[in-house]
Amino acid sequence: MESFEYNKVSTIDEAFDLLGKYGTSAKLLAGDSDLILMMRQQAIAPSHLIDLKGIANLSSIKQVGDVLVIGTLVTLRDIEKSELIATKFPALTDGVRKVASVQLRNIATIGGNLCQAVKCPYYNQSHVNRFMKQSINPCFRRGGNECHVVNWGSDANNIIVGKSYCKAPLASDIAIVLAVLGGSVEMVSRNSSREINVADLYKYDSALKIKPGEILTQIKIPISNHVASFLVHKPSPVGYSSASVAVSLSINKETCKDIRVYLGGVAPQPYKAKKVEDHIRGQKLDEEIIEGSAQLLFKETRVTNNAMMFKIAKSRDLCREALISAWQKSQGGRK
Amino acid sequence: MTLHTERIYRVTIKVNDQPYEVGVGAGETLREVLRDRLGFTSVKHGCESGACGACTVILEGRAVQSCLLLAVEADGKSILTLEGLSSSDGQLHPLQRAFVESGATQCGFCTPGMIMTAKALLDEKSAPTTEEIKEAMQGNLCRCTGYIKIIEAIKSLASGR
Repeated sequence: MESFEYNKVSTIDEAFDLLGKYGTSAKLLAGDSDLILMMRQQAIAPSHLIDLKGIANLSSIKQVGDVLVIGTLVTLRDIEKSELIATKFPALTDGVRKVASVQLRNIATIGGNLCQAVKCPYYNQSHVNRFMKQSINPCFRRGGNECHVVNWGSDANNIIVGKSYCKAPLASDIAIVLAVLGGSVEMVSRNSSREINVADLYKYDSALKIKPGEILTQIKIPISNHVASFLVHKPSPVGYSSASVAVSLSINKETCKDIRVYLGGVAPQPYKAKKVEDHIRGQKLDEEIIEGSAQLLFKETRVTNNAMMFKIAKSRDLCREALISAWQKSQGGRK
Repeated sequence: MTLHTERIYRVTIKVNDQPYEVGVGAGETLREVLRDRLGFTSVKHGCESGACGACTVILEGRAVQSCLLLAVEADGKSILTLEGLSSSDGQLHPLQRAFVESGATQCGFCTPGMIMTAKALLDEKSAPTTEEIKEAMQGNLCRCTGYIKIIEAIKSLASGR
């Protein structure tokens, strides 16, 4: 790890002061688990860390009117154990329980989860990064202009004309759940604050839409009568997920009034399965329509990398199962 | 030639009810301080990336992987390591005894982490089900053998309480 200076702040104003003073050479520290790993694997080398954990009013879960407000420093374990969230948003509880291990959830925070970097062996998932830095050209994430994973087909042309970018999928599964629940985050800077929907929180290259000097302070989820369910495929129990699906249904007299389907692990942003939504919206739900809608998923997608074909099959499976599970939940809830 | 000078932070931590004051660099992890500086060798140097759980300690009542935490962040907090489990006259903690009696250890490298995670689980829930034990122990890897004996050891204690 490169040497850096550690600053603990106890109010958000102090954090703004330090952010203004150090600019982009400073990183905000919320839960450790992602940032420390990135630094150890030499993916980033900030000269200053600003530890937000001392800020008191950012670590509570509360209901304000019909909106649930989660502070950015709430650990994933606290969300998992929260009765309020378990009754209002069981899908969020499910999603959080699927993140890494208990030990990690004890320190990882929800704000940090949303802000985590993409996971790629050429960027931050390798112990040999120090040597890789010297032996291969830097990728887009490292400030270069090539990708060592996706570099064939039409992308080869895009690289030449400078139109290519990092293709790594979004790392956060919680973002998928929050997108489906209609959640938004509050970005606060010294003089202003703005709200962004989690579904629009990420740019085309899965970078966060955060301006310099801004801090993500809270996550807001509107309480509604939607029934949501979340499913994830993980190659190993504590590893990162390779595909995930979140579904939210609003059912009125057996017909689907509203539906939201988002997929994770397949795109740099929460992937909105519009075809599936359109196929189901306004229809009476049954096995056939669910099966039909799952088959519509990625129908027109051209996969250039055969090793990634499993993601399409897996996403369809997960989508079908998540739709059935949400449908069953909505039936059970009414009885 | 310039000398590499790093700022030193004074950190007061309580390990197994004993207060310690150490000067640490900003980049030093809790694992490095506990094991290399203070000599708590039950805190193992494993994957150093939060995957294996061999460095698990209990920080303020919660099982955490000490390789992922900076030592400066633990300032003023209390930590429990495996050394703090057994009583001063050498009596083993019930969990340690259960691990011995069930044969839940082979090379023993993962055992301290396993026991600390299990302790945090049992402190929170006195009678966890097998599924709950499995979920809680997901973050601890054993590369010698399976996890059956380990789960049995925890289970024997869970029902015996």
